[in-house]
Formats: sequence, C-alpha cells, structure tokens
Amino acid sequence: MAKADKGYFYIDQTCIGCGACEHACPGKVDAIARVEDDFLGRFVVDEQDCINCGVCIPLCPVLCIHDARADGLLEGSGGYRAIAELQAWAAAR
Amino acid sequence: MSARVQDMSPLPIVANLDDEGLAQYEANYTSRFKVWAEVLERNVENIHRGSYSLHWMNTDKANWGKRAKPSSRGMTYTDINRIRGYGEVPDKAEWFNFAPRGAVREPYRHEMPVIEEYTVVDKGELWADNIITLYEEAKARQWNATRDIPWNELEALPDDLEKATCQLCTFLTEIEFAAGDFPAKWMYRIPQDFLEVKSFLATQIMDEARHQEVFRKRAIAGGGLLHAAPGFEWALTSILNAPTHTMGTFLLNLLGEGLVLSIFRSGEMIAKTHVDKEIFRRCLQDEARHVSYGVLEFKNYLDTHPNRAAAEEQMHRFCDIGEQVVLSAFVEPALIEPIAILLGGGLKKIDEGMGGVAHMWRMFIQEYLQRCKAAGFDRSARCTIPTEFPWGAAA
Repeated sequence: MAKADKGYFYIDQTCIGCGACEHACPGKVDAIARVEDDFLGRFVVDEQDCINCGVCIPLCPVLCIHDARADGLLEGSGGYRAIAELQAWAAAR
Repeated sequence: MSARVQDMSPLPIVANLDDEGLAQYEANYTSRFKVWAEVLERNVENIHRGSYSLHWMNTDKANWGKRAKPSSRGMTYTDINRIRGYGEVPDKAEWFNFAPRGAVREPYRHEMPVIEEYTVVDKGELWADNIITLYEEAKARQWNATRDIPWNELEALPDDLEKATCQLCTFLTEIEFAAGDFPAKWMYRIPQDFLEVKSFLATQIMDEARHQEVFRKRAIAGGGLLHAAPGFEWALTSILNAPTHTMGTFLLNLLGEGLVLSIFRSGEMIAKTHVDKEIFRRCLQDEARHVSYGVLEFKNYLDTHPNRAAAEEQMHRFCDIGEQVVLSAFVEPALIEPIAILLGGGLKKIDEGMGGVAHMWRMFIQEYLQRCKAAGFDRSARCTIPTEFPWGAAA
C-alpha cells in the first residue's frame, strides 16, 4: 500500500557521493539511491519512499541533506558548488 | 611440555642493543611467556587426565540467548550492535588484546597478553558517527582494477596528452601509496573494541591499493610511468609522521584526499578518454568515503573533547603546517602542468589550461573550508593557502 505522505527530506547538489546516507536509510524503506549516470556519484532521496525519519542527516559530511519543511528547497551552498564554475569554464571553450 | 615455551629463546632482533638493552628485552620476553606457559601446562594436564573443562558453556556472564536478526540489507554491524552487550563502544578502551567486545573475557584478564602497540584508546580520537554505514558502502562498492576497466578500449592519444595523463597517473600513484600506508600504520594501534573503525580502515587500505594499481596500470598501458615528485613526497611524509591519529586523519582524509577528490570530481574535464573517465569515476566514489570519515572523525574529536577551545586552537596551529601539504601539491609542476595540458587540450594550450587550474584551486579551497565548517571548525579566517591561484602574480 502506498504511503499517505510524501517525504520531506532531500539531497542537494553538493552531495559528494560517499554513500553514508544510503546505508543509514532503514532497509525496508530504502529511499536513497545513487543518481543514475551522474559522474559525481551523487545520491537522491525518493520522496515517495522516504518516511522522514532523519537518520541520514547527521551522517552526511557535507550537510547536503535537508528538511524541506524547515529549509525550503535549496540548491545547496558552500564549496561543493564551485565545480559548476569549472564545468562552465570547460563548456565555454 | 610448557618447558618448551619457558625455554624458548627470544627471537633475534634487528636493532642493535647494548648489553643493558638486550637484558631488558630478554627479561620482558621471559616475563610475558611465563603466563602462556602456565596456561599451556594447565591445558596439557587436562588432556593427559582426559578431563573436560566445558567452562565455555557457562553463559552466566555471557550475552547469551538474544539472537541478532538481519535487516533487509543483510546482517550489518548496526543489526548486531542492537543486541545488548555487543553494541556498547567504550569511551576508553581497556582491553589490549584480541578478546572480542561482548565475549566473556573478564575472568581471563590476568592471563591475557597486552598488545603495547594499541595506543589509540579514546573513542574521541577515532570514532565517526557514519563509520558503520561507510563500511557497508565500502563493501558494496568494491571494484576490480583488472576487470572493471575496459582496458581493451583505451584509445591512443596525441603524445602531449598521453604524457600528461601518464604524469598525472604517476603523481596519483605516489599519493595512493602514502594513503594506504597511513591507515595501515594506525589500524594496528587501535584496540579491537573499536572494531567498526578497524573494519573501515581495512577497506580504505584496499581502496588505496586498488587506486595505485589502476593508475600504475593506466600509465604503463599508455606509454609508461614518468617523473616522481620529490617536493611533494616530503608533504606525503608529513602525513605519515603526524603526531596523533586525528591530526593525521585530518591531513590525509580531510585535506589530502579532499584534494584528490577535487581532482577526481574534475575528471570529466581532465580525462581525455572514456577509459580514463571510468577510472576517475570509480576512484571518486572511494575517495568520497575517505573524505566523509575524515570530516566526521574530526567533528567527533572536537565535539567530545573536554576542552574544545584548546583543541580547536591546537588544530589551528597544526593546520598552519598541515595546509602546506596541499600547497606543496598545487605548486608541484609534476601535477599542475599535466592538468593544465589536459584541461587546455594540448601542450600548445597550456596557458588556457592554467585558467582551468585556477578554477580547480579556488574549488579546492572552498571545498576544504566547507569540510572544516561541517566538522564545526571555522578555518576561513586563518587559512594559510591563498584562495586565488597565484599564477604569474610576480610577473
């Protein structure tokens, strides 16, 4: 049976792909998966499966997992956004 | 029979000892082996008498009877740590032998050997709250540098790009050797009660072995290994010689592997073949785990330190020196010149490529400062590395 509420937790684009969150997600929930074909190996939360337990949040080393109810939707900030500048530089050449 | 143990001579030692030192060594040896001989004699007598002991069936002091159940992921450390008596990680280790956490070991304390090399005894000096999930992730993401890279599809590159790729691989191989030696050195100093950390460090050692393997193979498949980097090797040595586990982990996992992670994250732009992209992509996943441990280990160290302000100040002083490791890398021609050639698209475009290196420099510094911030350590005002690439600043 489908869950009544969608999950509120999400991973922003500054994820470094360490995977600590993936194995923190309760096994039967299993709401976190690697983004397919993403070179940077980032992860994503499936909002249909997430139960908002928040276990994954303190295990993230770059603070990229957020509660949309508290923070709203963020693109992510800090150092790990800087690669976008290098990508733009390379794309412009 | 126990006389065999008591009469055994100390093994020959490599170090030269004077008479006094040699006597001390032999006395220690005899003292240690006395207990072994006593236990051995007792057990031999039982065998001769045909007498059973069956003491090991007594469960009075054992955490017996509650069976661990696997979760849908399988049987993880988290699953077995839920059983009372097994999951209590001590703040300070007191068992310096191989007796498993949760086993009946107290009655045997006086007969146990003491591994004097187990010196990292405080949980605050090694634990990270994500250590178990990182260990699970590490096991799930293991790969094989022999078979998982499509070596047969390696395309020929122009000479300048191939040399740049091989030089970068040579440099990365040097790093990976040090990155494997560091956890190996400290793993042996961590008591068994911190088995989760030891397990993770074992995966890190395997990861680094695979990385040096894949970069060595890539270089030799493309032309050959090129030049070692003596300046940077001094920086690598400083990681191995860091005075504490936390300081060394900061240097290696947070700072050094952070730099390598930045390089690998740039792999889509640096790599000139799909084989090289695949190598970078796979190594990137491994390095992310190491960086992740480095950040949360450091956070745990600061959060649990009895005098946080003093601990932070000491780490600032350490960073003043430690950051020179990264500076040593980023001014090393054996690293930045091949990257500039690869980013630029050839030797003739090395100047353009330096623009990309400037972006990488800025990116690394920002990522490094964010890692420190995530650990609860604001280094932004005291960072000794220029935030902008000083290329040609004196011209």
